[in-house]
Amino acid sequence: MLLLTDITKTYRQPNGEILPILDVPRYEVDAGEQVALVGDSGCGKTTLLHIIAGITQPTSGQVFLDGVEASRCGEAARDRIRADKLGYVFQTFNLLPAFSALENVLLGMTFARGKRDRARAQSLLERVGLQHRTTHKPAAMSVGEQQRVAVARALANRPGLLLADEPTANVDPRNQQQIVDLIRTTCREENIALIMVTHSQHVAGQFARVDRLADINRVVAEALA
Amino acid sequence: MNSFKIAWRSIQHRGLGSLLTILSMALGVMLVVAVLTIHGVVSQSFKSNSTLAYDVIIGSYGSRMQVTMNTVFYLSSPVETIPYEYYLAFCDEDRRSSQLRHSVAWQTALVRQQSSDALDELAISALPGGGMMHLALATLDHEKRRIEEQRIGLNSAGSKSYLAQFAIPVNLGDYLGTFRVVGTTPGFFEHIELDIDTHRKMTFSSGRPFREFDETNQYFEAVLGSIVARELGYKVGDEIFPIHGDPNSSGAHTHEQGFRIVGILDSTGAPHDRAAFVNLEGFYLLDGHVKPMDERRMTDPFPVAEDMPEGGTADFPGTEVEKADDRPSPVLQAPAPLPIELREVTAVLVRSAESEEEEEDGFQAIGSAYVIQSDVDEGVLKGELEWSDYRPLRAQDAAQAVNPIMEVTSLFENLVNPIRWVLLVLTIMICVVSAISILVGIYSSMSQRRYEIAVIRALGASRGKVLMITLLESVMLALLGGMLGWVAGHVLNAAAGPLIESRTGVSIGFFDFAPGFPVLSWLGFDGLFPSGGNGLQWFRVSTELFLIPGLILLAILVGVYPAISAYRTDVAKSLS
Repeated sequence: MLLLTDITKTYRQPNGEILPILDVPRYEVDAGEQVALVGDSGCGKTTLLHIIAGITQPTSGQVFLDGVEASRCGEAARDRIRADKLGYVFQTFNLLPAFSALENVLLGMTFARGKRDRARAQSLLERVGLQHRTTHKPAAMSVGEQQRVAVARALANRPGLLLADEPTANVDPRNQQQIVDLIRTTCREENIALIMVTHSQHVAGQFARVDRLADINRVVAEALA
Repeated sequence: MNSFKIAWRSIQHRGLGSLLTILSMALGVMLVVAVLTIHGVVSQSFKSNSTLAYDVIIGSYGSRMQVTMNTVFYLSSPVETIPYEYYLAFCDEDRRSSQLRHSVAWQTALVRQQSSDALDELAISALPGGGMMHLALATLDHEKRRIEEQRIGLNSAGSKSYLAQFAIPVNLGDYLGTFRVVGTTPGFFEHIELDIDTHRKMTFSSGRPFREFDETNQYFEAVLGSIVARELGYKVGDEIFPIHGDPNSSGAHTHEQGFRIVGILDSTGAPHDRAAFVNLEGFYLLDGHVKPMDERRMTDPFPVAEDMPEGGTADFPGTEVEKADDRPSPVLQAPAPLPIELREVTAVLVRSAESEEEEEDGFQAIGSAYVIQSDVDEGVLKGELEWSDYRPLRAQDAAQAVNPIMEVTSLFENLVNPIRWVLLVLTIMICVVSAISILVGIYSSMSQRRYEIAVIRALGASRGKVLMITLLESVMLALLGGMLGWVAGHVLNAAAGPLIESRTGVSIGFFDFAPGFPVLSWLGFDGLFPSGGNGLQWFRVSTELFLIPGLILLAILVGVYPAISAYRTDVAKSLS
């Protein structure tokens, strides 16, 4: 499903020095595979997810999604790939405050090709246990409910790969496990590959495959060495 | 979910800010709509009033504009009068001969009265001298014959009636409250049209037009315009007493003779609503309305009925013509109408004759109007007025012929149009300022928007999409404001309608739109129809409709900057 080869990302600092962030020789996730990605803050987790999602272009290297080399596409095509093939759950939920729960989920399929399916949005909300909250705006919902809406939104376009960036970090402990279970179960049922970035050993421990960013990213590995 | 909905949600989300922006836009549009419609309706009304039914006004020499303002709009201070002969020159021949017959009767009666006074004196001073008596009677006979001879043959002399379809005399100078009293003939209601295309005439909400002579009310009947009746609270059957002269001047006084209201006009949307029409014959009989005569004739008060010969004009075989009007011989009814020698008019409204041969292109109609104008202005008529007692040194001393259409058009081009443009420019500037408030509104919320835009981008929206959504939001704000303003503008028109109507006689309602503009013609598509005379002039779109593309354009202009800002939003940075 996902193949990264020779990915590097560097930033130029104000003083002109080049700051390397990422150096990933090879990284691969199969279709339907669930991976926990763990690592300390500032080791490039979010940048890596942005590069996979096509939000950020790598300095060098290739990103293949479903066999398509996304990193060679123009921005518009990457937007299209993101709309069609990817789901994204953010640490801060990023629900749009002007839209109801249902509309937020519908937004998840708005930009994808031919996937405007109100019934699916409704059933996804049912699945995350929010069938009674469809018309509520995010501000009227609890943090746990908001993240569940975000999960439903990320799944709305039937993605091939779901990127979850510390989805439980801002959620109260009682709801954390529920969110993780929700994401994992749905991905399994719909054969969606999952990369879940997490700090939590407890969460990571539930995954069959746990990747440490320090092992993948040579910039971090060198810094540690 | 489509872009419209996304943009609409964004507007809703910023409720108060959006509302204020929309209101500001609405105010601007409201003013533009009000200016456009009021100007449009007023100008249409002005123009249609001047093109209705008559195309020449003969009025006193002086300001052409003042003659037009007086006779067409019943505005401005009253003008001087002109000799009645100008009316006789253009009125139809039946009326002319009937009035001339009356004149003969009156003059004869006058002479007879003077002679009998003289005879009385003679009888006293030279009782035995039957010869003197005989001489006096012979003189009377001679004088009578002289008058007859003078009047016989005048039925055609100096008549210009072939140039006119109709001529309506109008006398101004009296007031009813602040409204003008218009002395005229029943022909006014018969000939004056309110709409030149549909030939719509004045209609009565109650009663009827006044008659030249009525058994009960004699010559004293009146018809009121709708606003006059409403504001002064008159109804059919009431009596009105006109005020002589400008009510604001010290010399004004109320006439003792009243007029019975026999009819009230429906609202015409024209200045007629603000006028009180009285029978001209009655108007002449009011005190102070007699033309100051030269002393040669005005030795005595003019004779009243009992002095007139019984049987009226039939007494004078030489003047016998077919009785044209069926009004009862007035001399038997008391009081007699004012003889033409004592009459003058403020203006004569003339519709020039059209020739049947050349009717199609209308050249002949313009021709007659031109002939009338040059006859009046250049003194041709003066020579032909020789038959009358009227002897102006120059034709211009007395009268001029005015083309009301030209006057109104020039009034518009020189005065009203520039004002309209100033108003329009001002209101458009208000719209631009309101539009800038859209820019400010969107831009001030940009930091919040950047985050939302980043989220939408992360969900797969392209840069073009977020640019579109931002522009749409701007356009929707402008159009919402525009719609609200459009309705408000028309509500304002409807609300101000009565006031405008009472001040100008022009009525404006909610559904009066700004006049049409020949778009296709203006764009030069006339060439597609080489044979058509008027091309695409018929295809007109109300200028108000240009507000829609105008607003969209304005909204796009002010929306471009925030939209580009949205386009450039750095997703990764804005998400973190």
